[in-house]
Amino acid sequence: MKQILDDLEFLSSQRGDLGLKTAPGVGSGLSDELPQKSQTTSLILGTDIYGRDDDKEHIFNWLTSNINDRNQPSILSIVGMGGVGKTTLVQHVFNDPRVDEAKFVVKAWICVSDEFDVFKISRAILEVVTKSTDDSRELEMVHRRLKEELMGKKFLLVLDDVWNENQPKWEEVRKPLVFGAKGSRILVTTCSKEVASTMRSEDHSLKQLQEDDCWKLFAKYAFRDDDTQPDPECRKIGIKIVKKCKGLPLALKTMGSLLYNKSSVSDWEMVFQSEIWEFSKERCDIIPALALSYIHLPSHLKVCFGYCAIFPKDYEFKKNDLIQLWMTENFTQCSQHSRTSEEVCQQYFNDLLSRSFFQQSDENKEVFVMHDLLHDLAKYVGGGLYLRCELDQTEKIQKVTRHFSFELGYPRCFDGFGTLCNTEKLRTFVPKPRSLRYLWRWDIKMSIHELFSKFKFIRILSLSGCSDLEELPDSIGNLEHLRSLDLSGTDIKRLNENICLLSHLKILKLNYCEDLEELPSNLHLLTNLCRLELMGMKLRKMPPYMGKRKNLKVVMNYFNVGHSRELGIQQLGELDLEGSLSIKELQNVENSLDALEADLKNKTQLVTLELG
Amino acid sequence: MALELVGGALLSAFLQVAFQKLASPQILDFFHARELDQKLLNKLETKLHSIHSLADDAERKQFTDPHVRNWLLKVKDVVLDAEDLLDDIQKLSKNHVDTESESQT
Repeated sequence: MKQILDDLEFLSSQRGDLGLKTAPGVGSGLSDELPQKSQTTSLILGTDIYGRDDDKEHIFNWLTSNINDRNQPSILSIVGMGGVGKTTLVQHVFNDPRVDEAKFVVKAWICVSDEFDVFKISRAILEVVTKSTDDSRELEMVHRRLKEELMGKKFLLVLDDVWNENQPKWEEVRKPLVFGAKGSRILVTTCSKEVASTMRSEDHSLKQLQEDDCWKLFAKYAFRDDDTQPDPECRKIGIKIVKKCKGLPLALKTMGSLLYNKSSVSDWEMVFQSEIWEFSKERCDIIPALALSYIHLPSHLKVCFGYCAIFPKDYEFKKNDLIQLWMTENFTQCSQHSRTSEEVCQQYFNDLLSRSFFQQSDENKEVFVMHDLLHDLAKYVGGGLYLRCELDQTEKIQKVTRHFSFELGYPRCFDGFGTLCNTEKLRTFVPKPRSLRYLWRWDIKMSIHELFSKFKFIRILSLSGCSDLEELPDSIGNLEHLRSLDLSGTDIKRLNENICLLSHLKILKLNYCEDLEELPSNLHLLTNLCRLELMGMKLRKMPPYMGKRKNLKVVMNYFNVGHSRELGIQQLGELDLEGSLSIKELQNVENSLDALEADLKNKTQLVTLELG
Repeated sequence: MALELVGGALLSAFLQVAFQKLASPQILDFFHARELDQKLLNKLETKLHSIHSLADDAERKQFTDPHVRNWLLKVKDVVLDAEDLLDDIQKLSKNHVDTESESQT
């Protein structure tokens, strides 16, 4: 404790040197130290825009159509992650001659960005509309003048980069805008669907660019008007860089500009190798664009987002898997108690999804991915707290690392990455192959007991797929902070009774442990256990009293009815089962009352049931 | 509540957990039962609060100032250490209660 106090003392004494300020009062805007994103205007540089024809068409149709919308003026929000090109698209629309066909009398572009101040925005609109500065100090004056200016005129207003989710504030800004003529339009760009619904607008989501458009855009910045063919080596690296940008125009532009006038292969290689977050800020627009999305997150979402850094890049994850991790980590403990932590985490997930931090996969609606650059961002803000080890990486667990996931190459042997130092503080230890679809087996070079002795605060532990695991050592009982234990796909034959000492254990996964036929008889002592996964197991006997655990969900797909009463079907009676279940060897049911006791009709979460 | 503020720091979330643990009855009992210096606890809380007040500013500056970023990472590490320490105390305190209640029966 003394040590921690000293550390804190030392760190807080540095405040002066670093020029850190204490938190400003509630309601004051974001400070100037934000990574500066320059103001946008309606003017565009150059005339090229790639791969956005359909999106443009959509907006034109909306601008010129005669929608009879009660919501006057009608609003369209362009939603997409930072750097996907929302502003550029709207700039192109704004300056397109076809917009003039819609005969807007007034066209105004307002860059809203970080602070949504009703007065400042209203005045900015007024100033653009009247093309003169206004020095009113009262909102009343500004609104009255704005109303007069707009009265009966058909206008097009662009609100670029809106973050406001506060409905009353928006209603206030909207007040003078309703006096425009019929057919007036407001175009909004934002990273968040939530913002769009706050404004009660339609939304149009902007996706990443297609691959060939990516190359065109990149080449335009990297080679400018130079017609000479690039060095084939550079071209090869260029293609890799373009891949890395994953269809984000702003990233392509940044990378392209960095490489302009660089002709040596080594320069190109260097840019390819470096992390985008390490580039100096002056030369890079993409950092502010994405960092802002992050800074606007409430802190509980920052924790959830940061945790995703332990996933491999481009990892396709299932919503429920991620939610389970968050729940196990107790990320919800500060929230209101009226909802279950599962519901709260669902909400967190949806919040991050609507803010474009996650994207739903196109092929499979069940899985989600995170953009590469956002993964980098998560890693950057975590600064080693969350560590993912890929095959080709030599990164070691650092002193600060708390959450650790890794992948193993061939031969798939975990050697503790040298000496496996700095493991004492680890909270998460999970092997995670790059793809969900892919089952893999790995060996470990040390005894399981030795591995356990290296943990002190471990909360989420997975040895899934570890082929050397046939038994758990007694020391499993020492891992007192353990909340989730995954032994799926191992050759484990017997579960150590000490597992019943893990009073914090919430999740136990034993899927496809085909050699395991029995569970410890004291399993019911785990009062916090809320999920027991037994898929693909040949289990005949459930430990006693499991039904007494009211919050426990059991996931199993096979149950073989045995001969004696001890192995009978009535064991299923009080279990809360989920998913699908196939019950075999029903001929062993000797007494129909036993079947009744199994109480299958009340298992509401059971989706499919097979008898045979 | 500070957590509801849009744009709170990542660190704030960690601190919140530490504050909750600090206020838990097990921790207080532990110090009480052993007649330990409660001032240590108060001191820890005060220190954490003063760090907390800097969190938001540091969170924003980390992208532009590498020194701030370094500082922030160190703070996160220590705050998590503090949480681990409190976890340990909670555990000890619980074991203590368990053995006591066992000896009574």
